[in-house]
Amino acid sequence: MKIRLVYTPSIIQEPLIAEIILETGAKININRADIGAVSGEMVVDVPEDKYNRVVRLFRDKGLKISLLHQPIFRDDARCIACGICTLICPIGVFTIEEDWSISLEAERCIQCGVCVAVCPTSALALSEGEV
Amino acid sequence: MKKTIDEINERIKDGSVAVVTADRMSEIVSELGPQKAFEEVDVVTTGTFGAMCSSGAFLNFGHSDPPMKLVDVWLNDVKAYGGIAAVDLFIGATQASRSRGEVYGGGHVIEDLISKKPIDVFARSPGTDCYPRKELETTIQIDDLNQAIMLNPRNAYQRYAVATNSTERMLDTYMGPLFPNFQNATYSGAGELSPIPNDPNFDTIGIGTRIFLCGGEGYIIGEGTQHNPRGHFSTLMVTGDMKGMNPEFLRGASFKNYGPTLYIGIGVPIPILNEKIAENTGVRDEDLLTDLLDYGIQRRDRPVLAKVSYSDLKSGEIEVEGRVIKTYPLSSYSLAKKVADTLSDQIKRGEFFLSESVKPLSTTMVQNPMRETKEHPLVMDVMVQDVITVKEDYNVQQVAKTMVDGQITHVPVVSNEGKLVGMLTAWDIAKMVAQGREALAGEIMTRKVLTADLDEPVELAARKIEKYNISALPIVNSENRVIGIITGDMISRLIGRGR
Ligand code: SF4
Ligand code: SF4
Repeated sequence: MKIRLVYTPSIIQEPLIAEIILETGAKININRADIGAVSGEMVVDVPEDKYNRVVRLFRDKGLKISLLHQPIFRDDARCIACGICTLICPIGVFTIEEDWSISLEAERCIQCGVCVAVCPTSALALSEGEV
Repeated sequence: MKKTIDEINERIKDGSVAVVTADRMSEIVSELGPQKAFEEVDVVTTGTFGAMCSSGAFLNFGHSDPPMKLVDVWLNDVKAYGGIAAVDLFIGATQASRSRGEVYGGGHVIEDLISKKPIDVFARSPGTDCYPRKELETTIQIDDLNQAIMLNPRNAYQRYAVATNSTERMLDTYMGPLFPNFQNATYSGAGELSPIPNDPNFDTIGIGTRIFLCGGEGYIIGEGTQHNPRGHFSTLMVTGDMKGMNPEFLRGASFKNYGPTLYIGIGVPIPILNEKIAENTGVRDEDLLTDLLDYGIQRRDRPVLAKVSYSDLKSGEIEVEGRVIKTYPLSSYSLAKKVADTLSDQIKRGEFFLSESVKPLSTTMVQNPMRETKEHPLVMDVMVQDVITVKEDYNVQQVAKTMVDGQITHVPVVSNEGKLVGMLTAWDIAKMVAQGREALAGEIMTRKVLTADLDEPVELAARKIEKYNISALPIVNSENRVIGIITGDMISRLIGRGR
């Protein structure tokens, strides 16, 4: 399950993720990390069985968490099935099917955002997640 | 044996007409042969759904009170052309919004009109005795307009060149994102389903042909601009009443770092009047070849890297000189199919009748490049030829001295054989001095050097300098020896003089 973590840069100094991994034994996969001057953001994948515990620990350490059940949304009324998103997505979330429709596996998205900028009809949007 | 359009229209009326889509017709012709196909099929419907930049609309607003000549006009902050009478306007698909930039433009205004959304109008005028009003603000929707007529100067290209990128840099183009080093190629057009490939000699398509245009009824009114039948790049000029269109079959769009455009769905019915026409509608993706072009070359005449077929393109990859390039569509095949299917259904239900064209489109028209009367300077005209260079084994001191003596801020680094291997700037040297570090030119130079060509227009060199935020471009010969250099300063001086 994917979650987005928002944190202050000071937390980066601490081996936070390593601690949580050691404590829970959860294989946490870092999908994406952006570190800015005043805040940082990370998208991580947490195995389902350890999910609740990991989320609790992140919260305890003072990180803001949103749950990304569906990280990316497509407005199917605007999408024209051109396929440009299949070209740009580094993860391969979009696929051109036999019948030329474009399928998406939203749960694999790491919210890099490039497809949102490239989609010619503005059909794609990143989810804010549930807090 | 022959059929006439009147006979086909009779069959549409009594419901006995035989209609198939162009992709199905290709199968029928190859299974049964053209003669049998002609006997079995009355109409073939074609369809395409792609970004068609050369599109727009004439709008008539009716008069305000007091009356006003709409001169400078913005619709949802997108500039419309007001230089036609008092209350006629033309809105073009690629015009970008004044406030929102490339993400919203004329194509979106056209879509919003057809979707019956409100549009904010702002207009200014100097005022005349007969049109005294100087400023106007109102909000309208399509039903408030007397007429809203789509008129697209160039649509439905017969085929379109495929784009790829040989350079080491990502390009954002109207052909979508092109990754460096031939990582992808993008193509447009529906291939065997597209209108013109099914009637390439214009046996039936002509002025007055009734078509499916964005869900409504439209007409072909002539050859599209840049119509080039001999080069197999024919195009259509089309028109239609926007009040009858359906937003499902068009979409305002925007390409990143290129700007707005409009995706349009067009379907042309081809009446199967004889065996020859049947044979032509049997065209297959593998018969339709198009050129693979290198968009890394920013000139009008881009080199053709290979000929590829639409069946190769649709397979998802092409092979060019032993290299596999992934291919991606920009137009929508699924909506192109929907256009052809919908037109087919309309004909079967007796809602769409065929028209006789009054004049076929030209099969001989030629297109010439622009005549340019003002010479643009080339890199060789402005570059400095006595280039000061340094060797890889120069130390910081020696490089600094060379720069100071030559009064230059950039210096190409060359190997012992005199070949270009890197670049150094005064900044690189200053950094070393500030850190008190010793190093050789070869260790601190930038190795990936962008260069310019002798016959490259200065304008293009200037764009490279600006886009990649560098300050000089060396010019090398075929042996990679530095034969000149052009700097941002030289270009600014030149432009300052010329304008
Ligand atoms: S790029 Fe946008 S319009 Fe094209 S298929 Fe993807 S979501 Fe749909
Ligand atoms: S934001 Fe878009 S491009 Fe990035 S991973 Fe998600 S779906 Fe792919």
